[in-house]
Amino acid sequence: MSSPKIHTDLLWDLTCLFIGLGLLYFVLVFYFRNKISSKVKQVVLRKRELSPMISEFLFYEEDANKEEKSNYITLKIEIRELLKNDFNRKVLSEVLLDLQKDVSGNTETRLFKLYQDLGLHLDAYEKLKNWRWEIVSKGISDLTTMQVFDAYGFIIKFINDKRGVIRKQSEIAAVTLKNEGINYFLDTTKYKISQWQQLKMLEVIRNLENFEPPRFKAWLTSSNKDVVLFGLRLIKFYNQNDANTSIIQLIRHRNNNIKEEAINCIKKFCILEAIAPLKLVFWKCKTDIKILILDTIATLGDESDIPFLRMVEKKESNFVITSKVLSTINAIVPETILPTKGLEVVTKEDMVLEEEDVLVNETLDHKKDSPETNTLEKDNIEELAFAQESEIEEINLLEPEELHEETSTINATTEIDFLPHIIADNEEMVAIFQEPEMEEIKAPQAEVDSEENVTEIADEMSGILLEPSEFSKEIDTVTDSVEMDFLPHVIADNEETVAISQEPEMEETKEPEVEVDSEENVTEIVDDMSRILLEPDELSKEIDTVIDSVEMDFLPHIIDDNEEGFTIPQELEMEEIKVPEVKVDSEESFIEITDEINKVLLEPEEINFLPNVIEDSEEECIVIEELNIHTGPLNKSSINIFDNNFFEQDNYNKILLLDTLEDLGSAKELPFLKEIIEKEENLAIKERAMEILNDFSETNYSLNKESNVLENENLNEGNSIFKQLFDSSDEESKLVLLDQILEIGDNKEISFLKTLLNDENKAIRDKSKTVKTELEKRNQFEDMDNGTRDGNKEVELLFPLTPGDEMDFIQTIEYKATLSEEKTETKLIIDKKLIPLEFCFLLDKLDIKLPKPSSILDKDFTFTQEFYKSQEASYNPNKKKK
Amino acid sequence: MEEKKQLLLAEDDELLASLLSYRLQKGGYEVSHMRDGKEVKEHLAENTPDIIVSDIMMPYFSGIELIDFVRNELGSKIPIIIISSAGNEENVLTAFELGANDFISKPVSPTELLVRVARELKKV
Amino acid sequence: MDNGIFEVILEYINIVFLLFTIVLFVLFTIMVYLSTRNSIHYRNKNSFGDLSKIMASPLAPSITIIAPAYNEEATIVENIRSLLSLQYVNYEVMVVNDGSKDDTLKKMIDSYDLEKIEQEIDPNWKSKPIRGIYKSKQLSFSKLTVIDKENGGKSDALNTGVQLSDNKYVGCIDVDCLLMPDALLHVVKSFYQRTQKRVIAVGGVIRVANSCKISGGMLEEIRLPTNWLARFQLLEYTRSFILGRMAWGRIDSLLIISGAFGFFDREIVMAVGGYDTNTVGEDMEIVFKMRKYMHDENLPYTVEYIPDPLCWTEVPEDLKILVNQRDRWARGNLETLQKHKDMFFNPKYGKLGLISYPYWFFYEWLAPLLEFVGFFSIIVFIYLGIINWDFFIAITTTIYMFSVMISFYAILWDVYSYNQYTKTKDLLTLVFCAIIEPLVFHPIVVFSAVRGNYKKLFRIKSGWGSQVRKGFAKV
Repeated sequence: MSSPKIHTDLLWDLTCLFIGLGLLYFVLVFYFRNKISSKVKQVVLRKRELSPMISEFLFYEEDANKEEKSNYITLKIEIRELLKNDFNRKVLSEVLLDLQKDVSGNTETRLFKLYQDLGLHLDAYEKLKNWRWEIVSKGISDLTTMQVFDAYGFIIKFINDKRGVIRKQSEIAAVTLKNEGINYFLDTTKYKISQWQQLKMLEVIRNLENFEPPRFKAWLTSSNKDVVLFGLRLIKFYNQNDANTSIIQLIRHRNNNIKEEAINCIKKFCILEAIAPLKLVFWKCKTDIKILILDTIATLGDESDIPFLRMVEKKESNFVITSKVLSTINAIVPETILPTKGLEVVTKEDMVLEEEDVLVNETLDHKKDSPETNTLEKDNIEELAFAQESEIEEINLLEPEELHEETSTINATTEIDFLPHIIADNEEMVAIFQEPEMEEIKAPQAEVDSEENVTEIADEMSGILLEPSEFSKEIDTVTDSVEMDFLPHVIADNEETVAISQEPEMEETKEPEVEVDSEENVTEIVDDMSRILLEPDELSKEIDTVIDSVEMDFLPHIIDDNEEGFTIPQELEMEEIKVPEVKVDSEESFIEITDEINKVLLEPEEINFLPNVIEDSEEECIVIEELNIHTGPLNKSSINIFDNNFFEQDNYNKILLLDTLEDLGSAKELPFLKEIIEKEENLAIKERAMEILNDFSETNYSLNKESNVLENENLNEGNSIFKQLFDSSDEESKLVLLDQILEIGDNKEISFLKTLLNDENKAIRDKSKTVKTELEKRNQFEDMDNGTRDGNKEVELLFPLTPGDEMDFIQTIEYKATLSEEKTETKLIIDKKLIPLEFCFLLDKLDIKLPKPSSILDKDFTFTQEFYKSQEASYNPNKKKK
Repeated sequence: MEEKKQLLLAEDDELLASLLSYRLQKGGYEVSHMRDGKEVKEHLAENTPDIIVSDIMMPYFSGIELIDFVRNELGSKIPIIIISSAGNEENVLTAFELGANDFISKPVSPTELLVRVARELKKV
Repeated sequence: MDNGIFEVILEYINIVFLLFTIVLFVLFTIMVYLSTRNSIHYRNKNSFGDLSKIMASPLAPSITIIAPAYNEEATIVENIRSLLSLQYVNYEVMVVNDGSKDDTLKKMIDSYDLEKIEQEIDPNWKSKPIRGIYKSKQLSFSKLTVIDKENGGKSDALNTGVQLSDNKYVGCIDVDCLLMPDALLHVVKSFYQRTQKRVIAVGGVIRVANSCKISGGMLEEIRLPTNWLARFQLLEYTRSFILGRMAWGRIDSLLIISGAFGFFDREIVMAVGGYDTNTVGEDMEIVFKMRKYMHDENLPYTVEYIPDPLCWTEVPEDLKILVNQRDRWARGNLETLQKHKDMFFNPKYGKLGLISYPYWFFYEWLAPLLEFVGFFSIIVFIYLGIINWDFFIAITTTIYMFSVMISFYAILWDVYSYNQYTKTKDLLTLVFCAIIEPLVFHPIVVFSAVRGNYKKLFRIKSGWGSQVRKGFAKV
């Protein structure tokens, strides 16, 4: 009998192996340490080297002097040189991606431009072709972060990719790069959408500019549960109340998340019809959903729900639910259940009640009502309070008659909050929210007549414009005591966008008929408001009749988009106020509105306005934030508004205004600037204005001069400027040139392109053909466009170039210069420039058509092209010096 | 020509710092850039800038401590603008309590910063 | 003849020992492989995307951070301040004062301007009575809730917090932990990322903060601990978190979430009745319980693990405290295994019953005991002169080299992923630690484990053991 022999040698072999591995790891530890550290160091060094260049690019202004300009161009060449190195390219894109997180506003936009101008997005495109998912995802994420809009077409192909990370990144990309991306995504996605993904996507669309949410109810019928859930969340977020029936259906959904979200929607939209189905589904739900349902009943329910609640109280054993039931009952019929235990029950509902008690008592003192009616009234108040809430959130839901009934049961003793917001969007949509406090209220009839649903925008805007906390802060400042507050906000998004919110408290108000018709004039809102304000005779008469006058604050905020925000608080004392008849139209210019408002504001004596200049820095911040939010696309006509409002601003706003003016304005503003310089007392503002004045007059002058040069040149050449370059180039550069022609060429190039159609090289033939068709298409557009204008080129040239154009331009000339001067240079640059061609192949392969350039861009092209040529003339000497 | 205003920029992120200081310099300020709290402290011992722009999160010495240092230890009323990361309300509140004059949150718009700096200087 | 049989038996003991060792090697190799795969995957997946953008999203879930505090007056104020400044909007910090005998509560009331509020508490909830609930009068501390209750131990304090919270997720942490500002964002991401399974718990790495420079609730400089005991623990933590848990995470069988940093779906925690107050290994027990519950309910679920360094804590630098701590862990381990013994090789619980539980049973609980027994048998063998020296030396060296190699690999991976200790001296120190650890530190751990088991099995009463905090170094 013996045991198998153990080979100790085997163990020694293993030991050797482990020693070997151990040594290897030991070496690797230091190897990786060194590698990572040195890489970090190198990146830091390179970043230090690159970041001043980037600053230079980002803050380069067209008005720079000659020296700066030549400096800038040298820098451009330098950076091109640097970018030939892959490591540098990587670091540079890293730097730009990093910076993107930290900067906002104009600088951010320039950053995006710069990214593309330096061709870094091409690297990202390259990544899309990689087979490794992490690299593809990185490529997508880079393109998304830097907002390369053209990438949309490529990326959406990945939306149903089987590799999760790629899929998620492309989903984010889809919603980021195109406002309609969300529709496409919801339509096409087959996969589940994780909560995290929903969160991120909502975050993206929340921050999209000019985003118009589609009607999300369309997706409630989707077979993808997550699409339904996400749809519900979006409906809730954008307050789309047109899907109530579907929502009520969805509370029966098996998925708890969907159920929960549906109930949340019901609560938010006050869908009264949903109470019965809610009661039905209640018993089968989980604890937190039960609590949610009870919460909803507390908000929407009435006395008829009490038996149900009593039953729940009896049947439920869970403490959390039973205590919730009690508070719900108390919320519907106050003080039904009195505290029995030593502990005091303090719930939110109770707090609200207490407050209302105070209110009621005060009015009771005032009106000497009998105590018996007290409780009854309290109930009424509460119902009303609920009704009001629903009103605030969902004006469309509101049944005017119903409210009417409710209100008429009150015997002129209670105060009701009424807070109207009037918010109009540029798409002719208007919504009105009201929360006035009055003694007698009749149903506010809100007639919303608009092609699309209004509420959604209203809420979106109120969400954005009035951050709840800020808003309440504002209200707090106004409602220190039980006074009458009237607080309209007029917030205009851009030319045609107006938002007005009011919080009047009135003793007696007649039915405010707010008729909002998108076809009618926005101005009339203000007009009517001003009528309210401007009817001093009538008002004062009324005020005279009042002995115990109740104070009424009138505080409209009017905030205009174009960063020339202004805040005008006013106070009014009055007892009775007549119905404001507000009509809204967005077709007509906004300027009128501001004029109107100014008129109103400029005659303060008449109506006892007390404009407070806001000195509190916190409040200023609010204004600033609001201003910042509204940096939408700007409109020419709004620039004129500068003149109207400028002198009413405080210094800070003036500077802001001037900044905007600098960005948007043109030589047209010269007289205005002069006026500022004359009238303004503040030195800094004066200086600033002077600066801008100089800028404008310089550009104006130089542009004029350049256009002259250009004309001369045209006479001399009369032919495509590309021809010459083309003849002296090799095949690759020719192809690149063709790209350039497409980018900046015009009619003159077409004949030249025609000659190329017979070129011996097939690639050039094909390319020129496509370029030619593109050009022709574009020119047609332009011609149409030019037809509508007066054809004065100088006017066009007055518009300042956007930085991107400037860069394009410099790129072009730099490119041309190198092309004609040095052959070796050319080759290197072409290597990079070639990549777009590969895109064409990629495009073909993927069967994608690039989005056509919009007509707005085309307009830019007309003058920039001419501008380029003239600039070329003036820059070339500069270059030769180097 | 008026003398340039001295501005102290305390920001640990080099990229952002170089960008901001470039813009501020272009806006006519003389910018001294400090990377962390230590440097700031040393700098303040010898110089008196006209305005301080400081990130709230910095190594060695947070923006909060900086305000405390300037207001209480130096007893100075130099305007201080805080750069805060998004959503860091608690810190911003504390900063205001301690005497910060203004704040701007990341992502920063350099132009806005310029405006805020100008405004604070105007108040002095 | 007798002698012959005895020798054969001895040979067989050797063979069993060898097999055990080889199985161990294989398992560790698999583990290394899995953790490496998982780490690479994690890195690739999370290398982009800016977390902070979503912190204010209306869809972001609400989180309560529950921090039980017992006699923490020295550090409590500072620690709370750090907890209040996390990058997240929708969260609440709930400090449960577990009947501290010192001035912990008073310090909090004074520093945060607290006042008592009234709130009704479920009378059926079986926690120690609550003396009061406090909220701050100041708006800037509105995220803070302090609960003062009678002493009932860590589990009891956590249960009270879970009960009083009404948020979707609860995070159970040690109050003296230092959380990175973006910790909650990572946690939310982990909870929300899955589509098929419900994430019931999220755990994270615990990093050793001894000797690190910390000020204003922020980690300013990462340094290697100066204390040797702490250095060994650092190595041990690195190994266990970077290799061990990462591997378990990969096969979705993670069974332990550190008590210092664990987040849970509150609904499930409530459903399983919260923490077990009768065990000292409550952090392990609750994961067992929650997993079991989900299996019983037949719901798809998972437990997530975040390898990013989000939570930093001080490890004991005193030998006695360390032994007490490990003793407690061993007892907790045993108690948990005992309580859930029905899971042992129970196919009903899938991987949980077939892999995780047996692993814990054999290698976390049994191995130290075997080592201990083995050690003494070898002494006896030597004494009797019957030891097979060739074999003994060979296998000891092999095991030794293997463990050194694994430690090296952990260091390597730590450097590769996070590169936090960059000084050559620090790295050499760590390597040196790895070399002497099996000889110096490991025996201590084994001894503590054996002591814990002995106490438990022979019912010697013992509590939590105490740890005196040094408090993070202040600048």
